[in-house]
Amino acid sequence: MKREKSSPGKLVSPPPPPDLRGRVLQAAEDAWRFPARPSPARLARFGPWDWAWAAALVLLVAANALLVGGHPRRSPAPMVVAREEKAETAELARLGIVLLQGRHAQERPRIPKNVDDLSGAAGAGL
Amino acid sequence: MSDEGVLAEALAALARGEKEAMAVLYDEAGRDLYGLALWRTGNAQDAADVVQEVFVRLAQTRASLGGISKPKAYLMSMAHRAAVDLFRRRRWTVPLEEALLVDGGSGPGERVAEREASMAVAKLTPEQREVVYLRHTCDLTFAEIGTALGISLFTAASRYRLALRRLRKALGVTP
Repeated sequence: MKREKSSPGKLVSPPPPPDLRGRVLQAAEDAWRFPARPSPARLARFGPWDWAWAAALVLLVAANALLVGGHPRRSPAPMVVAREEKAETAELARLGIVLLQGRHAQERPRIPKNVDDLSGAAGAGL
Repeated sequence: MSDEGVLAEALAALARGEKEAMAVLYDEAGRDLYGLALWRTGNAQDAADVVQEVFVRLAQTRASLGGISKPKAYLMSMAHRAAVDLFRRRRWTVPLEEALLVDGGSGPGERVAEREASMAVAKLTPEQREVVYLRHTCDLTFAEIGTALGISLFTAASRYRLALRRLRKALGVTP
């Protein structure tokens, strides 16, 4: 059914609550004391003194890196580590100490990847 | 002085450091800002927060407010961004609970139409509501709406057309 055309009343958006004016102006007053940080426009006005300071800072960092020794000390290569471990194991075996680490690792119960996998958990004795 | 002229002067006064211009700005633009925020958020409390956020940002960025050519569109874009930020922080949507339209002074005879119209408006997406509000209530051009919302003129116009089509359908009005 088509609606009859009537002369519509003037519908407008509701006005703000009366107390909003005071609240907003108070918040603006509080914010007035803390203006925003320099905008990109301020950065665009980078003057010669600013450049001088920036350059000095870069030089300082570079000099510091050189004095400390440049690159951090590198860790030994994996081959070297493996050789050292092998030698250590042999040394322990000579002393009669049995390494249980490997056996324990094999006997460790299997932890199911899926928590819902109850059969796996039960099988593993969890 | 026109609305735009008063707003431009108030913004320029803020840029000069005249704190009293805030009140002028609120009296001139407060209602429109609140309306846009209400249409965007659908909630009176959130709308009030958005308006407050706009004025806080105006106070903080006052130094850059001089020489704004379209002050109304500028303020509306601030309200839009503040509303978007509010929703981004919340990450959830608030159901529309407030009447988005009220009787504008023609007497109590249009109560039903008022409720129906509010419900029809509530069915639009927030983006569509924004465009309709800016076009009808704030009298912005599509180009200005595009600037305010960060979309193209054509997107603004097409959103508006789509919104009107949906409103007509919801209200059972034929063009």
